[in-house]
Amino acid sequence: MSLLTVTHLKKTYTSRFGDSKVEALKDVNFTVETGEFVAIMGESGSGKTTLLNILASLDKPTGGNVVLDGVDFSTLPENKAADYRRENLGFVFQEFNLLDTFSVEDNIYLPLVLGGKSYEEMSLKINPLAKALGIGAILKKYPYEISGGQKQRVAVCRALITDPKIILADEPTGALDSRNTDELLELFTIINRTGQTILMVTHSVKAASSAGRVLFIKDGTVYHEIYRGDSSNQQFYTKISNTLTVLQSGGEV
Amino acid sequence: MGSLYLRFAVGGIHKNRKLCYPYILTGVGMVSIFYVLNYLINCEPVMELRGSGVLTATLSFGVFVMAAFSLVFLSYTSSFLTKRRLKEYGLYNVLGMDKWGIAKISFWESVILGFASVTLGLVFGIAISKLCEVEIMNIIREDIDYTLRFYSGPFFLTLTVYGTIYILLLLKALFQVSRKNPLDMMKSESEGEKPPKGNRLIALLGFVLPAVSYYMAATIKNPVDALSTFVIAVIMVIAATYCLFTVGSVTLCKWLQKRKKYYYKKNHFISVSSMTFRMKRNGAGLASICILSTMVLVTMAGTISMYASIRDLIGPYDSSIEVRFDNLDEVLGGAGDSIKENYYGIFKEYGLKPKEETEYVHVYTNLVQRDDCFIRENAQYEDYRAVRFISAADYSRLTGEKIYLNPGEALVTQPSNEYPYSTVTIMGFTFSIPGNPPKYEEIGMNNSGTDSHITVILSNLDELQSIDGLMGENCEYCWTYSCNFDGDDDTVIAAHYDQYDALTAYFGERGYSSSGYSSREQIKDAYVVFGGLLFLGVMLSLVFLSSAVLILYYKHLTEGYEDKERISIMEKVGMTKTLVRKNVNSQILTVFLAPLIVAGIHLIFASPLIWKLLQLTDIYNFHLFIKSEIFTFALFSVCYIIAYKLTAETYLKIVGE
Repeated sequence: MSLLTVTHLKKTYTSRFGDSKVEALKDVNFTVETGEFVAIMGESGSGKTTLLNILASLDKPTGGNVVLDGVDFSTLPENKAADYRRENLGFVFQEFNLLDTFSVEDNIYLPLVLGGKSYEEMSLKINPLAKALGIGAILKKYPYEISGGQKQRVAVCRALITDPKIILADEPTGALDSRNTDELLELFTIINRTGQTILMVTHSVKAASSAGRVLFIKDGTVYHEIYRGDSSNQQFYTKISNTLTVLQSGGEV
Repeated sequence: MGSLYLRFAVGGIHKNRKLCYPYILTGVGMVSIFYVLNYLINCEPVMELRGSGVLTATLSFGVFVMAAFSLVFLSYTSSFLTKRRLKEYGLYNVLGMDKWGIAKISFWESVILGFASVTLGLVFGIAISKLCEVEIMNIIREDIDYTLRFYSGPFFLTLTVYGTIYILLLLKALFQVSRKNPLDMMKSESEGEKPPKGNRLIALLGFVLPAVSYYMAATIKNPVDALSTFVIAVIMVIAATYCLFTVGSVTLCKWLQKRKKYYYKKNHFISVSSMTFRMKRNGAGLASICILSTMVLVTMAGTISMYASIRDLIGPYDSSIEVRFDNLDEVLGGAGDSIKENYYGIFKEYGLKPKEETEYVHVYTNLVQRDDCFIRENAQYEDYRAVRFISAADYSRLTGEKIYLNPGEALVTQPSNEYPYSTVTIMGFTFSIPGNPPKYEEIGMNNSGTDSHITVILSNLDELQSIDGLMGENCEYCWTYSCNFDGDDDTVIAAHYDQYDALTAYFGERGYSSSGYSSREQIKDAYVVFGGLLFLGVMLSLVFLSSAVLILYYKHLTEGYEDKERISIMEKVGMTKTLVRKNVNSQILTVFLAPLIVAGIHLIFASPLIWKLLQLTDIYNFHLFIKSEIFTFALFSVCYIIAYKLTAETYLKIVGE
């Protein structure tokens, strides 16, 4: 069985007076297997963010369902959804979303504290992970004192510390320069090799080219998908950009 | 081109109406109250009052306080406004508007805000001036006339004072704009924030300073010292409140964060860490709210208890005179009778008929008390007790309490507690005390309620003659006559003074001193003085209260904008909406209730001081004072909580969007 199954997902936004409707997602179907690294690509307005919000249980679909590890969480009530999100999902956002009122260490602890873990348990977990992510030396610092690349690694650390079933990344390289982007993507590849499932939404070809599979979303449906197969990052990069060119010119792939 | 900047300015004010309108409203309030106070100083019915000098002095003091407070407070709030606007200015600057243009927008904005505040304030002030005049006449119990009045003096004074204040604010805003470059402006709100630093020394000051000033307030003995102590204590408490709210609270949070077992708990983790930042941003504002609240509480508690005690300050008779002879024989030998004859003659001229007449003799001297012994020796002023000797017959007649004493027996009464000894020894001569002393009752002059007074009742005043060294020029031999009348106030007061003047002239020649009072006059004077104070207290309290509410409102507004983002992050990371809301609400509640609680504590510890100050004005009714304090605090709490609820709505609306 797949880790994540999305079937006939539909999301319609109604304007305030109910006179006009916008279909953000028409009919989205795909699955993600355990240990996969999947990128979802699409232009602005293609429904990427809506999809990710629903996957993150931050938004509710109008129709269809999302099943993660056998649980349909799109129907969970709000308070259960938050618990579910904390226990099963890890998030990496474009804007890092670190709380400036917490030190780096406390930012990473946040989901664990919310889960009621003891301090001893948390401190055992953080050290190896922080070391692996190269942020061991900055744990006591505050977000305003560290660089964008470091912030994103802190966010990754926060996402990983709960041992989530799947990591959801929303344009994780969007706010990074090219060196930090390379480092982060490499980090994702390494994490993925340890068996961590990653689902990343992006419009960066470079970011997508580090994934194992790329889904293209357009006008609210999954339009196309390509696998990396045996190709190198560079080859996969070319493949993705060719596909995009064809998609944008409106032709059939 | 000029009109373009004006349009920008108008648009800017309209867009920021959540900030600007309350600012204008506060300005209007201050201008109008300033005008009203000045109007009352110039108002004929007020000027024509008996004792209007004290009233005008009180109101002038209020005018001064208003002007000073307005300058400080409006400058605080306007810099807050400018800060919020800098981001927009920065954007204009980046998009190609030069500094000169921005200065013009800022200029027009300040001009519009100032003009609106002063104009509306004057209009409103003129509109309510008559109402306030009626109100103050009501409070001081004088006749109300309904002629509408307008004076140009107060009008132009208000215009000048507030015109100057707003021009200063305008210059300040321009200075703020000129100092910043465009990028600074755009960043001004979203700067990555440094975590606040605790400082144990300053935090310690936050606790030590109030402790010291509380101690000073609690141990003060002499009412005359109370005033200077009061000033010092006020300065210390203000400093301490700022230390406590800014650094003290942060230090406390930091300390909590170090206790890992406590800190890393679902309920403490978020509240402690965000509280640290909240206090850093809000500490000064909250301290200001706290101090303003304390000012309201102290002012109101003081003026209400003064006003409520007026009855206690008034002597019981419409006319009362006391003549002090220099030997006991003369006074006991009926020296008062001729005075009374003269008195009756004058009353007849005025068509007044005395009733409820009383007449008594007492001997007055200052002695030092050592347990149950009273001796004459050199001592500090504070150690002396004012001793009055009165005969049992006179005492019974005065108080209606039947007392019989044998020679060698005495009864002793004093204001605050029962005389605890079974004998009283006056300069070596011991009187036995046969029974429980009667409850203390004030006799004669109305200012005998202080703790230093004591009354000794003897079977006959002649007994004093046998005490060695007591009598002589150290004693006063007083004859007192009092009565009431049915006539109206003016006639009674005039008759009283006619008699009193004649008396002074007659006895002055013979070297005797005399004094007198008319309760009709006392009550009028007391209402003018204490009523005026109460009126000013209410006015100033209104200003302080609305200032506190404005800070409260601005704080909620900024909190809202800052928390909005944080709340959305917390939700993404896995907090339920309800938990986030609960958490944030409880923090907001803690933060905004803290000033009220601290103000309450300040009031409690300021009480001994206020009490001593009240004694300076001859107020000795402690229960009434405590009741006024409780009433004031309860009323203020209700206002504060309503203001909190209303302003919290803004906060919830912003974060809930």
